[in-house]
Amino acid sequence: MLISGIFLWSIVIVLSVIVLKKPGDNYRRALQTFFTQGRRVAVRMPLALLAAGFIAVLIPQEFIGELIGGASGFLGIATSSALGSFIPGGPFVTFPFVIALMTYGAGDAQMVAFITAWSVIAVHRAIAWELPLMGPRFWYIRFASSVILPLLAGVLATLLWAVLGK
Amino acid sequence: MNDVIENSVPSEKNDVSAIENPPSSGVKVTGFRRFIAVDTLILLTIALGAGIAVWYFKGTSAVEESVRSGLNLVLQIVPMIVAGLLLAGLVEVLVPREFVARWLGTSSGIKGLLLATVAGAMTPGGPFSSFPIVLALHRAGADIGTMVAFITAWSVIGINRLLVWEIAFFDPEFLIIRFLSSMPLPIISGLIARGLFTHMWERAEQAKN
Repeated sequence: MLISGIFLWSIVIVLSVIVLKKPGDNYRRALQTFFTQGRRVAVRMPLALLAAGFIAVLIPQEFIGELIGGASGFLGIATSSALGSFIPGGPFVTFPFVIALMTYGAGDAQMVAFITAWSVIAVHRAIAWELPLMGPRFWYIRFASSVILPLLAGVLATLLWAVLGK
Repeated sequence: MNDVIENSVPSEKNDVSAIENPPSSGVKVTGFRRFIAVDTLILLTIALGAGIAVWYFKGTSAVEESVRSGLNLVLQIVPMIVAGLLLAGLVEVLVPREFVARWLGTSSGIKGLLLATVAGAMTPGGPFSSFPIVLALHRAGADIGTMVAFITAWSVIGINRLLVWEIAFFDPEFLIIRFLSSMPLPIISGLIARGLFTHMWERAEQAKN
């Protein structure tokens, strides 16, 4: 955590120097993005963490383990992919849920499939953005080309962990 | 500093419209503002409902413990999130999206898919920044495979999300394995789209003109 933090802040400092050296109001525009996005996150993320924590306490641990635990194999990967597709909201909502699920017994490869499905299938994003902007045909083609990806990522992750001896 | 805060978020309305319609995208998305306000309410309802259920079934101490561990996690990740969001703003200023579209629109073959993957992975921001780029790619002459590979890369191996969010939440091993397992996905989806759906896409485009 500490090393990741130092790493991130170092990049921020380097890029800040680059942007500040450029003429114009670039840094101001960067700060605007920061504030608009920060405002969206400031309330939602603590709420999501709280909700995820409560829900994890409510779902019986054996149930999570059986359904999407490390031993659930390909069926668990498929279940996680289906679940992940329907999780709405940004990473600040979804990742707290993933963390909570992992704490209560969800498998690593299953969570890779979950995150992949949430990112690439993203039913909520299709409804809010993709259909109105790109039209149904584009969505259909993209969906058909991507529907196997979460399964693929889950299987690849399983293989990679097996190679690492886990 | 104050000046910047006041000018960037003078009201709820401008705040949201800045997300909806970044000045350079020229795309209108109606109804999304309501979606944004509603999702906070839904989260609040879920948190409250689940909290009450925990209190009812497991008692006050279980609620206290959940809240405490939630707050702990918030405190741990806030410094990372702040750095990540600053980074997102800086990258957006440094890499103009028109540049990406012009650069990608004319590439084809496997090279086009690879370029789309790299560009997608480097595109910061939510759907409000990625889909306008796809539209621009389309106008610049990109094929369906390039567009699909771009969206897949942006969503599964986005460097921005990795730096802003994943580093804050997950341990390095999980992060690296997830990233490696997702690296081939943009090319695969691009090839599927190109191989199976090019005909369907082009016929529909011709019908439009």
